[in-house]
Amino acid sequence: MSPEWLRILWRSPGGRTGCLLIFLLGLLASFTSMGWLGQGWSAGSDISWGEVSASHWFGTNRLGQDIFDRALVATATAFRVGLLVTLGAIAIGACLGGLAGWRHDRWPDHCVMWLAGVLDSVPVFLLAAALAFAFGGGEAAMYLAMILSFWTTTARLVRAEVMRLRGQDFVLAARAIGLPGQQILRRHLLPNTMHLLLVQASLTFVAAIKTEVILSFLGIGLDDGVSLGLMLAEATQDILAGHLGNFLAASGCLFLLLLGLNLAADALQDGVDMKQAPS
Amino acid sequence: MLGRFLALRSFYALSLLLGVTLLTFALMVWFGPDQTYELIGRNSTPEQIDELRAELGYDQPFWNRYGHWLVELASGDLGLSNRSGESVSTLLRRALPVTAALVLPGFLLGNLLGLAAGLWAAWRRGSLWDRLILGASVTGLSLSFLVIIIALQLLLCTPYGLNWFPARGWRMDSLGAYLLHVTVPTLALLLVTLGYNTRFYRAVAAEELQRDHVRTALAYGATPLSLLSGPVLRNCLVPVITRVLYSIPLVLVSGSLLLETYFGIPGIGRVTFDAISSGDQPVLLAVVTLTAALFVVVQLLAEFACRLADPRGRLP
Amino acid sequence: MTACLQVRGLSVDIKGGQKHQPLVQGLDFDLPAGSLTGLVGASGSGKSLTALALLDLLDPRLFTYRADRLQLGDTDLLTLSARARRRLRGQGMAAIFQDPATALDPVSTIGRQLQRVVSRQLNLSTTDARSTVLQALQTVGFEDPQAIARSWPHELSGGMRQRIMIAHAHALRPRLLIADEPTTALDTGHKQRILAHLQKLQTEHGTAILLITHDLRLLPRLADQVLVMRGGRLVEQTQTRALFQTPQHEYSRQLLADLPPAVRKGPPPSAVRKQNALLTVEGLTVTHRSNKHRRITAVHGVSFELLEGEILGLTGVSGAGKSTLARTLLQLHSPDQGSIRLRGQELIGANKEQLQAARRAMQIVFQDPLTALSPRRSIYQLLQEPARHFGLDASYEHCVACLAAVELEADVLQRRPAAFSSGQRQRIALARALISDPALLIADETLSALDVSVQQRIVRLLQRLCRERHISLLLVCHDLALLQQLAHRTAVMQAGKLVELGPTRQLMDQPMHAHTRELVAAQLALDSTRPAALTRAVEP
Repeated sequence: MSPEWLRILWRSPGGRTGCLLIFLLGLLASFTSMGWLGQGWSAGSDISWGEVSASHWFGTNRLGQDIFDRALVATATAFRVGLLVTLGAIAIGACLGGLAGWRHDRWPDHCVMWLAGVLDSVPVFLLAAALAFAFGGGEAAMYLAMILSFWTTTARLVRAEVMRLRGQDFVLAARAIGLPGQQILRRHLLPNTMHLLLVQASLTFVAAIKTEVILSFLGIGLDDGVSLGLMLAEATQDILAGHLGNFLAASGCLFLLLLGLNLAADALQDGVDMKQAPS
Repeated sequence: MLGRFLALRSFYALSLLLGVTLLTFALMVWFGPDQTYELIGRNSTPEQIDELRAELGYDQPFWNRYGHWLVELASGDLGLSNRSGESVSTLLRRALPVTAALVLPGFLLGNLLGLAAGLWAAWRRGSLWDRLILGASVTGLSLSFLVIIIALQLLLCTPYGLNWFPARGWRMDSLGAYLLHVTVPTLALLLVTLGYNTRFYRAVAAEELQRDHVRTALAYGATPLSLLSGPVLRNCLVPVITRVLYSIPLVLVSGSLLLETYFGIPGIGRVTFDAISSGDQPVLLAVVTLTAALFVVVQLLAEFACRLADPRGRLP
Repeated sequence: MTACLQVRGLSVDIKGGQKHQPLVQGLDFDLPAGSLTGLVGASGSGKSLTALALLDLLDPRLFTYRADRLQLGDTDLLTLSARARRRLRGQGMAAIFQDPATALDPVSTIGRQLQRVVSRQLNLSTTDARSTVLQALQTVGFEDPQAIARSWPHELSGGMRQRIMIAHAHALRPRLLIADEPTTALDTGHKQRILAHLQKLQTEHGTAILLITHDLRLLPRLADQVLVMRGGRLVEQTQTRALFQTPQHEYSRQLLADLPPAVRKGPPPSAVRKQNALLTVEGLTVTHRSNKHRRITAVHGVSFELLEGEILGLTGVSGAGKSTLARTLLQLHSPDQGSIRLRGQELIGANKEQLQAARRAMQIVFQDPLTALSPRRSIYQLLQEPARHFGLDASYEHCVACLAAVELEADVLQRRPAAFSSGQRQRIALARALISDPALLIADETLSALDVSVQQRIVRLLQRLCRERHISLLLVCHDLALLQQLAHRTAVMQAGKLVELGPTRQLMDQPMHAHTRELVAAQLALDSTRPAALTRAVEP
């Protein structure tokens, strides 16, 4: 992929801030998953709700675990959830949306749109609940629910874009030399939906992280480890006792991550709009 | 022409209904955990177990059970709750007005304020106002619903903050009590939806404002207010109707789920949460199926409304 | 004569782009009251920006403008607030834009939107506004104004919608009307009517009109004076007659020289040497699915022959089925009936290899230069694609040779389509068609979207290619003057049927079919108004 999208991102102050935030948090998250940071997240101590100190930057939780380390691990978890769901949803959305747009108003289109219509009718929390019920809970149900719910938006957008491009002269020119459909789709149409996929990817990332938080809070998300949602669920207990460490750490990380992604999505979208404006 | 359109869309909606019922039934009943031991006491005889299994239909093939369940569903029989033994339809009928009263103010305000702010930002695109509104909405988008609820409760309902409103519970016996209980949830709902709504309406209006007919109207001396409240709003009607209608099921269920759990309000969301946490299959099944059905109906309504709003028959 | 509008030192800049040269630079001109002024220039010369600046409708996020003096009648526009400028729009100055398809509010009836404008501007009661609207509709030639007032914009044709735009002006009687390319999107016949209505506005209400156009041919009869713009500057400002007889500026002379010769004038193309048929079409019928349930016949029983080395013109009003016919030849639409034979080889129902060979021999170039090339690929990749697909020479040298044939250098290969102008893109599209060394080239309105000078360059290029490479050309084109310049024979289509086919000059001189006569008459009406000097001016 060309670094064109990076240039677009870097052009606006918002995009730059978003890039830096994602990069910084991503760096922390990858160091954590490599085992260089945040290793003390599960080790308890006897200082319940400990004060902020040199050894515990954000204090400790009820079990005496270090909140800073837990926030790091939770951020890494958020990246894992976001990446997995985004990759799945965008890949499915691009393929099925491209197919539906190319075979517009034929049976593949009807099938894809029907499936999207069915899945769109079940809100993601309820789908997650139903899947968790069917599979007896667990992470897999959460991932599956999010991917099943989130691919449809991307598919609809890609479909519309492919339909728009399909009528343009360069596609007719490709058809006129008898180029087979899947080659036209691969070489001329899908590359032109790249910008759209990037915007959708960042928005799906945001949706996935937000959904994880709520599902984990409701008890149908992650069942072990640490996540931002689990930390916030824990924080609801702490708050009644007046301890804000967990809440501030988790909501701060969550806010910075989401802000970075939203700013990046905005900057990308603006870049796309500007490019499409003259034609 | 219109009759044919109605028939086609209704047929499509029916096919969607079939799809969602099939999905929920397959997930929750066919693949779902065996309910026998949930319902029966510890010391039951094999005969009792067989009897119950026959009653639940576990000895029947898939399509028979699905058909049977559909017939029950169509006749309004949603079964009994595993947890309380109460009829699911009574449970839901009791919870629905509570949820409606809870989310309605936030839903209306969120859309109206969002529409106003969106139109204004689109008209003054690129101005300081626009950038402020956009910046505020990006911040709003980056806040999780859960964080907003926790923070608002901390600030408004606990001794650590202002402590003006009750932290939990629900009363609707007087207007004062209702306002006291509905304010904080409404604020939370507003904060979480306003960002999305404003951006959506701004994008829709900005696109409309770029069209030639707007430039023509300006060339013949239209004022900003007459333009925004007249042709621009009317041309935006299709996406606006679609969005408002589509968000009804989402707010009713997804929105209330967190609000009611957190504030201890006995509405649909609370019922759903209890069903999720206790594995109450009949209730969960009913909520999922009815929400999906509501969504299909809303989609159909949106199509008809758009058909009326736009003479060209432009569809969402 | 008093000046309706005085402009001194008008410049338009990109916002914050002080480093660049202004897009419009130091314009000085007067528009006398009750006169019609033509503003001509190539696309990108700043014509439309000038219009929007006069109206104060430039997008403030993108452009800024300044002027030393901007005066409408006695009113100094520069000292007015934005609100006061807005109040002036409507009765002080008004505008008509190019695209009639989008210029009207799609969700209000014609009557309602006209009434909205009229009652606001003239402070009329509903009934008075209504009668004013109906009268205005009648003035622009609608026989049943009631029915038009009740209809929706999408139910009307482009020409009708443009007339409704003029009805706005008739109802409000502005002192100045700016018409930005009002006829560009219309067929020749409709052009005539729109221009006649504009003129009526000028003579009946004394409205000063600024007619912005890239088509010099519209001006001789209509305009009192002409402003010629190039690269944001006014290069010539003179009386119309003077411009056409003794153009002063070199650029004006160039523009005049690049006009295609008037119909029935100018030299006909030399005759075709060979007489064997390359392409034979018999009884071709194509139906489209317009929406789910209706089928419309786009091409109906068309038969013709295209000789080797021949340039065959195909003309007709928009919607006549020209493009569908051209695309069907390439199997982009499948015909319902008929036969298409290329050198005797039947294409309908042909197997894969035969089709592949036929596609190699037939190449197409489309109308819209903006979408003709796949935006994400380099020119090199674009040229290689057909070569690879047909298993031909895809080497760098071959691509460079094809580019050279369309007068482009090798250095374009590494760039993407966005880097090129419309004319360059059309030439790249031509180079792409030449890669497979075709025997037949189909040009689907390739010339229509181009400025006159670029158009003439492509015309000469096409002539040379056909001569040197023995290519036959099927030229789909609605401009009879261009066809007369290029085509050996011309076919006329009307509502899907081919109504007349004959040597181009003969067809222009003695049209047989009623529809051909209409087309030629409409074109003649545009041409006949030229001063005799103009015909001389174009001869070398």
